[in-house]
Amino acid sequence: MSATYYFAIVGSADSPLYEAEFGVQRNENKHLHQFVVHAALDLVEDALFTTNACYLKIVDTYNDWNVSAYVTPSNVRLMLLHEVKAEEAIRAFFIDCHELFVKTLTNPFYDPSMPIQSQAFDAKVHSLAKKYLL
Amino acid sequence: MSGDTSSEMTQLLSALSLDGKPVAESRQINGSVFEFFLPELVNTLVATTVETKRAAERLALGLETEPEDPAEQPEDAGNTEADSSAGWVELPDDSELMEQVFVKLEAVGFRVGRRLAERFAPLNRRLVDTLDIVKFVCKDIWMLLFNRQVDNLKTNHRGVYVLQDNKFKWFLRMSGNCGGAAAARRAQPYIWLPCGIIRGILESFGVSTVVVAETLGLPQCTFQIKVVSDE
Repeated sequence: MSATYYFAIVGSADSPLYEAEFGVQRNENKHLHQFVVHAALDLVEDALFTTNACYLKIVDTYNDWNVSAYVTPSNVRLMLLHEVKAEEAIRAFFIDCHELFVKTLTNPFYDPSMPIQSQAFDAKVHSLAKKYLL
Repeated sequence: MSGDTSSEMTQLLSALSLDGKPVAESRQINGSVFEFFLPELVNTLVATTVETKRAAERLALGLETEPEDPAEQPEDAGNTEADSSAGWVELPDDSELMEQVFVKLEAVGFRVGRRLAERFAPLNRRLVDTLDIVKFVCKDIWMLLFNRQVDNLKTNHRGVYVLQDNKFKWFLRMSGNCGGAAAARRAQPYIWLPCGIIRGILESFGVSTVVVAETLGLPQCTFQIKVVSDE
């Protein structure tokens, strides 16, 4: 079973700060992933009204894909597009990614509206994905 | 000989560390370091603002930007030396200049506040209510920064919050020989940084505010938060 994941960090101004793909890539184009995640952002806002928690579980589904979301206190959304439903693993993955994001924020040269281009961040996200998702 | 003294040193150093790790490894700094840093920060910002204003004036008058070194330096050095040995730089009376210093200090505090909020916000529940966010500032953030909580929080439930701290930590070590009101006026710049921190934290949670502060007698200070709504 090949599993594909698409992970995106959307900033508080709704601009994407970071994107990554994990697992085996099939024929689907990357912009279809982006489109589905973007459409799910509205549903994330709806879900925010109902709960006080940070991890919002699955907010949307599209054919075979599920979109899970995690919202940080400063309204930065971590979105994961996945096919396999693995709540606990995804929750752990989100929490570790949040910690990584906070470490990026403590860099005085990083402004919260800039895209994250650090290679170290990229490498760590991939290693987290390998640990929890793949 | 040197072997003995170096092993004694490492034993002494490991005795000083608090979490059992050798001091070189544990990443801790003394909490009072910031109280030493704050006056230097304020003085540097005041001095650079004065200097840029002078440079702009000289440029406007068509003179060179370099001061004539031998003539100008001694009189400035004389003034600042007397005061810097006492630890205070005389704040210029120019209100426009102090306005610029206020903007700079508040901006520094704003950036610090945003990072503090993201780093220390509670993980398991999100704060939705503005009152909850202000309470988080009063309790958790104040405990982190000053090791105590705010003494009094008042609100009119229409977007104005007043935080009162009767023993503000950064003011405890300040005293002036000029009397209560003048000392309070001289302490003004040191209170602008916490204003920025509070505004940064609230902004990080999505609440736009204006924060001002005043002090009536030195260890006491009051912060007033006004929520700016978009309508």
